[in-house]
Amino acid sequence: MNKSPDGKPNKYDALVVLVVLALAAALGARVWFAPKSPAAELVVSVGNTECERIPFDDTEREYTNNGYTVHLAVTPDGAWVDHADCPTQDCVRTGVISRPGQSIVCLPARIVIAVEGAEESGWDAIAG
Amino acid sequence: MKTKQLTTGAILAALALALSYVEGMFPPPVPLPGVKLGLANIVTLFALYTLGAPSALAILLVRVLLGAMFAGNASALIFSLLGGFSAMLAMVALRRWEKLSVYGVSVGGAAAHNCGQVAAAMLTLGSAAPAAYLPPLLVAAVFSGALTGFVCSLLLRRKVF
Amino acid sequence: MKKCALILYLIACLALTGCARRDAPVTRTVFAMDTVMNLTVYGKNGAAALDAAEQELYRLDAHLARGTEGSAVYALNRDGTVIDRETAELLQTSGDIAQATGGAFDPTVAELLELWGFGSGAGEHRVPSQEEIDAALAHAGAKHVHIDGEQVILDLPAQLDLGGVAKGCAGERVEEILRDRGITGAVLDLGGDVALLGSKGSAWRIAVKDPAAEGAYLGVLETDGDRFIMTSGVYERYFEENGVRYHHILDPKTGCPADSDLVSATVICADGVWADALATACCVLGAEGSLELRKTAVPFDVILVTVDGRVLYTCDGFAPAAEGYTYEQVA
Repeated sequence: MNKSPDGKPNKYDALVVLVVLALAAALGARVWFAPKSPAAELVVSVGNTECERIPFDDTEREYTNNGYTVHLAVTPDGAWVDHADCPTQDCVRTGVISRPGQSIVCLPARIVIAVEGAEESGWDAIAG
Repeated sequence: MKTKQLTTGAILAALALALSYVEGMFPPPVPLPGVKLGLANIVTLFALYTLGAPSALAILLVRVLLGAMFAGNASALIFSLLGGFSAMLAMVALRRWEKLSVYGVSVGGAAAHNCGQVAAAMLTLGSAAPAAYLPPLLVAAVFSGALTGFVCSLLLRRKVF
Repeated sequence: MKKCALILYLIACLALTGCARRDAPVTRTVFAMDTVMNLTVYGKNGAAALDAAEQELYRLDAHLARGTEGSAVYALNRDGTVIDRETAELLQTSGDIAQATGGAFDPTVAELLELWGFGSGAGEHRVPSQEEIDAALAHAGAKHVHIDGEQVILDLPAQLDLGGVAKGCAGERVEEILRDRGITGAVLDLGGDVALLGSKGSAWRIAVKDPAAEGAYLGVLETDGDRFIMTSGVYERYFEENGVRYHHILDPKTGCPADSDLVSATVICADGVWADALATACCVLGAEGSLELRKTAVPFDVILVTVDGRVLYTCDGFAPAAEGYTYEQVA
């Protein structure tokens, strides 16, 4: 068994420490300066399939499915359905969504507009 | 294996188990469940220097398996396993570099231990998010490695075993 | 020495990849039972299992919906009798629940629901007169339902609505189908009512919506699988007339919206149909009644939100998250 020359720290140990710290710094820099994935975006699904991803910029969209049309307004602060021709108007009444997990659903049209965030939401489902 | 080695190994394994239980009582250094301080590595390091790698490995295995069983928590297994083995591997490799004192080996081991734990977290959560905790954990490794090294150097000097 | 350690390490890693690898979860969105459902399954052949689950949801929807011509319930309401094992079983359980809850849950409130406009037809919302309510009350009550094997007899003009247990039933059926296909873990979000099957490797975490604030949560519930988490709330469907709010959870005894101290009740139970029905019953019974019920009915936990801003919960594993409420863990 080779014992270390003596139990006192020496300059080679300092080298190991430097390497570890450099690694920490490099990883830290990567996390800070990495191109940020889109913070949050809107995912529009028609029927069962995802049809479009919209970032939170000033824009508007219109989707038609199942005989109903839904008009979506988007701003950097949130998105909402400003008009739709479905009978129940739940989608219009939902109001503004902006946070990951929130969604606007138009049942008759089978259209779902959900906010997907960069981080995992931390839960498997929302009850209530 | 000589009887003395066997009994020493057994005592060390028990010690490692106890340490790993105790360190579980400290709040986790980062908000990742399962991440531990790595105190039990003192034993691995010491065993490495006094009994050799195979024995140290055996002690590590015992500590990891029994520790997970006692904790009643199978997910703790993967954290201990990856953390402990990574530390072991790094320490065995670093020991080859004769110029390095126990401090260097220990810091390297601690850094590898934390890398192993983060890897375990990434596997369990299925995401790359835990990797963001590596920088602070690596810095912490320098300190915990120094501490472990210090304790070990004391033990080795006294030639307790 | 180093080689030995290296080899052992590699073997350990290989062994671990066996345990640690999980098939990525597969998700599907299904529109059924008047709501949007998100089904997520873990395990092999997720997509195929989901296909089967989706079909079952459509089938059940068509089979149990009161307003769908050709459904068993539609036939029962029209003819006063139907021979259908599924409906008979479901009604049997409903009857048991009605008894256990002292009538707080009652599948025969269909006529009353129609009166208030909460029915399946496009009835308008209005406050019915006391005579209308009394007339409908006379026909309500579990005593009007007779079950003989697979045959159900309904004393017309009583009317049945299984909406209060449909999602619980759907959850159970879908879980059966998923289990048959080897799915070991699944989370089924049936429009806000959650069914949990098995395990995904780590504990299930379910956020519970705050009825008062859109996008806010009362807390997060950590639980094992094989549970149903069903919620009923007065805020789900209501209308206002002359400044008074009338909600859709009717008290079967009075025929009017239940006047209890609860805003919402979330029931956690191993049985889906019970969970679904109990959530409604708890809203009718109020906080005290709900907690009393726990002593006599099947085992279940609740998270109750009262009108005076308290959140009473009986389960461990619920971590409060909202401000503005007083949280109380009760036995």
